[in-house]
Amino acid sequence: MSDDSYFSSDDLKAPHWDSGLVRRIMPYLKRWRGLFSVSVFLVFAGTAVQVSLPLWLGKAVDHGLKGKSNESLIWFVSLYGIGKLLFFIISTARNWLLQYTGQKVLHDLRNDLFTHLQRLPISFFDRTPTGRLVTRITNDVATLAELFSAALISVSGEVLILFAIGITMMTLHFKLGIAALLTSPLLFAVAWFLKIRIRDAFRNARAKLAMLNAILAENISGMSVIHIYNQEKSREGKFDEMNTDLQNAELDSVFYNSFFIPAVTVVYAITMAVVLIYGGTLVSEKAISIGLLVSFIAYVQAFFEPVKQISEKITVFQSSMASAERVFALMDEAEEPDIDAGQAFDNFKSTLEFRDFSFSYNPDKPVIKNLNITISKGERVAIVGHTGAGKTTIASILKRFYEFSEGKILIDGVDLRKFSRASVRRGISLIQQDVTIFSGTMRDNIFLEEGTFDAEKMNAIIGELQMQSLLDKLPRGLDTEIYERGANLSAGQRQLIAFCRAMVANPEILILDEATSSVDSETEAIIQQAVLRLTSQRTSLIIAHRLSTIKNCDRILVLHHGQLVEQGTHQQLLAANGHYHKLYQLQFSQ
Amino acid sequence: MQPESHNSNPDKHWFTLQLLKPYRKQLFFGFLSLLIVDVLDVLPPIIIKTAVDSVENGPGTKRLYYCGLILVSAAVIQSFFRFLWRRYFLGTSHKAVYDLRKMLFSHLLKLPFHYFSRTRTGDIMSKLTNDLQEIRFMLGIGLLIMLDASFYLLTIPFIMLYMSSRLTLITLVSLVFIPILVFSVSRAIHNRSKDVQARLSDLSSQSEENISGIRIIKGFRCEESELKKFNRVGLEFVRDKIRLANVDSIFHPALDLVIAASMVILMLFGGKMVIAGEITLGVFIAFQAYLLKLSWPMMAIGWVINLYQRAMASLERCLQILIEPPADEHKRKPPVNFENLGLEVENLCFCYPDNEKPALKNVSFSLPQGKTLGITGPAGCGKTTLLRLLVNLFDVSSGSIKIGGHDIAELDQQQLRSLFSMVSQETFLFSETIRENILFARENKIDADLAESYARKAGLEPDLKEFPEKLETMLGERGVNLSGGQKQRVSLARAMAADRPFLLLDDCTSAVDTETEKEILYGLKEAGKQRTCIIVSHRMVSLQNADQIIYLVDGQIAESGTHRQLLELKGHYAKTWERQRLKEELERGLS
Repeated sequence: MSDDSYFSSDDLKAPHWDSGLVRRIMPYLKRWRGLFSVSVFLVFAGTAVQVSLPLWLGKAVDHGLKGKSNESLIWFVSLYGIGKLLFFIISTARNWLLQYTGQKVLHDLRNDLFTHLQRLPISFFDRTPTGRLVTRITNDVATLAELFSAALISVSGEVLILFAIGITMMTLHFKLGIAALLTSPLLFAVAWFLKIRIRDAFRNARAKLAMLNAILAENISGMSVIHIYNQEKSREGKFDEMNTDLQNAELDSVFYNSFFIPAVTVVYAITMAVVLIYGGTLVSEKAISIGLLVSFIAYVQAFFEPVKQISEKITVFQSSMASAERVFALMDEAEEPDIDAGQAFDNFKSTLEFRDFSFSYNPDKPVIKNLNITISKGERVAIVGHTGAGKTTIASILKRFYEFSEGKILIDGVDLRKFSRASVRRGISLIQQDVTIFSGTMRDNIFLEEGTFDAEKMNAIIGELQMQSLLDKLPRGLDTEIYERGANLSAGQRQLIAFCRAMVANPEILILDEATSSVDSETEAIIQQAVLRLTSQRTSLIIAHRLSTIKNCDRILVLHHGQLVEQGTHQQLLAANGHYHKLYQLQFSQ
Repeated sequence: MQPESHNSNPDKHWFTLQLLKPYRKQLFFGFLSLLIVDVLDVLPPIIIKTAVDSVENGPGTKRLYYCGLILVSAAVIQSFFRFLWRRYFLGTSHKAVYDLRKMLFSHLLKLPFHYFSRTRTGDIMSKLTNDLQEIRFMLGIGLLIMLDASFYLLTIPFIMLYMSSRLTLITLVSLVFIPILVFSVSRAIHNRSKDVQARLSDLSSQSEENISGIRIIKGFRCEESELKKFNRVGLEFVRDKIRLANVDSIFHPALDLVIAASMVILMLFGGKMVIAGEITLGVFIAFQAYLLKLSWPMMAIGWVINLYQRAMASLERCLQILIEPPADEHKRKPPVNFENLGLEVENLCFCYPDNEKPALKNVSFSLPQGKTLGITGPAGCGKTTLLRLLVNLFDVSSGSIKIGGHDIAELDQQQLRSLFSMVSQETFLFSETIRENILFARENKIDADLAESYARKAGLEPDLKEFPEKLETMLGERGVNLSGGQKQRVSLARAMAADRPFLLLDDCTSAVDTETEKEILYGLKEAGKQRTCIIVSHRMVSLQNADQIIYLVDGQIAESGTHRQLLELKGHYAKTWERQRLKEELERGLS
């Protein structure tokens, strides 16, 4: 069931680190510290203005009303009005600035996250569903926004007020002050108890949301398969499981969240009762004046206002903390080492050599065993073998998509690992069977790097691959908009896009995972020509499926269960009457 | 909830009510709890006043204890209802959003094929998560605050009127600014929120595509350019977000200012009235206190309008999905009893939705049950289109397809689809176990033996041995841990396991050698003599044993007949056959 699936395997084991998280967020705030300190200043200024307002009101009552003076009434009322106007300006500016800074900070964070994602090794993407990563980049980062605008700054303002009131009460009358603050630890305990639970609930909810998104992404991509096999009902059922999980997780958070404010209400009543009873007794013992008691009552009321505000925001805070955790957990995934570090591979001189090379994705199942091959510059080499023989793995390794440790791969006698990944990836092009198509125009799909379009180069490529006739079939030629996943392209057109990409990169070494899907004879002819032209000038490794390609190769390597079992030309290998011969008979005879 | 709401253009408010309808009971109880809480809220000031009075009037310490007791017990009752009130409202919002998400997903499942080729996955994902969240805020906390605020808004002015109608009218005159303010701002919030949500969709699409294509991006070293693109979309998002903040950030303070204006008026006029002896100081103080209490509903209006406009913008985006006509809108029909499953295609024509050039023109043929039809022809000649029309992924433009004498346009779509299994060129596997993938179309997805027997028939057995967990091996997204050939064979096994009267193979045996292909096809025939097969292939040898072969050119049948007849015709088919044969011989000769 869904519980043991690929989608639920991660997520819930991130550690609890609050202070750690704050420390991680700080550098982002630093970049905008100017704006940020202005916002903080505005928060304090706003609070100060707001606190001063009752003062003007009181003065207006004392001097204006009681003193029966119209003049001083107008004077203090004007002060009050000006104060309010000032507050309006300050709070507008504060709101705007908080939003602005918050968005800027998040933009940085999102970019960093995306950059980090570009640097993660392929093995990470092998085990992480796309939907889950998309959730982190959009949803979780957006939730984190609340941390800046709503929680972090206003909460610190509220806390300041709390302290101010607490200190004022204690200076007015120490014992009564202590009595009034007696319940604060209780408040703190409730907050602490619920904080962890709310946090767990949110964390759970966020994880469930990510799973839901992953399921969603997959089902949308596979919609036609679902339709063809009438599996709408069963898919709906699976989705519903996830949706229900999410709902339950959210309802959990509602449960704890609903606890908090009521708890604050009760603590408030207890505090008020304590102040009334103790203060009242003090008054009746003539220890304090009744005026002081009234002030205390006012202060307790004032004290609980920020408490209420904070407790409202604590959910926001916890929810964004849960998101922050997920964002930073992704940030903590080990990146590939700097892809630009190392020697530049820009000129392939003589040989590419595999020496005693072995590789496995997981320890108990070796994919390639003790491989020894040398390929000279300009050679066109075919690799053949059954599926699962390790052909595609060799390609991925040469591209440095996976780390290896056993044996060596040498280019011109230099260890492949000494070259920078970036230059190796640029210098060695891989054309895969499954051509990934991006939405955008045909042009964008060929010149993947933005702004590198070069009409001359394009024309040269079109000429060389003789693909004009195929382009003519597209309604707007190179400017044709291509749908996501290339829904409006034929298999042949996709293949050609992949070839064009390789031509644009103009690599030193070309690896071609020859497409197996058959195309019509016209396109087939174009593709065959293209393969010949692509590989004639360059050192090329072809994972070959077509007999015609194999025959055009200088040498054929036969792989079986990760081992090189035979090599030679087509004729030599047939004459040897070994593994290749069998393979040949199986694949190409009737 | 009935997903009946996709007729033309459902009204957003009506739709919201429909969403909440199943939870009217909870909402009612929630509302009741809210009333209790708000009424009890009046109590503390009175108790405190009593306590202060009793202290002032002499040593009434005992009464103080009573007051304390009442205060605490009132708070306990209040907090109990406050808890219920939150649970009812917030809980309902989660449930309603669950319903909406479910409704959206079931609707998505019904949408035609074409919808998904023109809609970006990231966009749909964003709607089902980010937009739903905005809607949830409105239905939960938004509704709650709105009702709470209305309570104060509807009671306080009346208490004030009762105390002094003249002062009330003067004081509250500034409140007319509120509707003006709300009216002028809400349109902007709505539109700008919609922009923000759209940008969020862009971000989501951008990252979805990037991650799906990460192997290519890394392979061609264009991470920087991807970053530039992402940065651009991100900046657009920030820009729109700040445009929203421009309105947003002035809205609350402006509402607050309106109350402040009332306060200034009160102090001036009320103050003069006090000085003139028209009202007592107590009334003045009470007015002041009540005005302060009114500032909460004012704040609340700001919030709610904001939440409301955002939610409506998001709801509009979700409704965009719901108003897409489902593929089977008019295709729910009573099932038909087939006497035979002969296929009859007459004058079939078809154009793709955004293409004027017909993909198929006047195609006619008939295929008795249990026979095999081969289709071939150059790329783009309409082979795949023909298969898609058979399973009704698209509607025919004109002409007809009949099965057992029934026009498929008149058939229940579910029943029609249940006649076919299809293996397409591009294999799509789900990230579940191999077993679950093979038994995808079966009711029982547990039967491992059954899965194994089909795996054997599809030639998967040797591959399974390679996997440590055999049939229970978990596949990665889109089957990343399988090779191309393995993927094809799993999808073949899936088609066979579906065990349906028609089997459509769209050029799907390309990664399987001729020998295995033959075996597979033979096995298929043996398994069900009554099964009709339609095989699309460029490899003529795979078609030569078909009972009938069609050669398509530009969407029209150029030639048809058996292999032998077509060869005698000496047309396209014969030419292509000859070319393929020569090539084969040439290659053999070379060896």
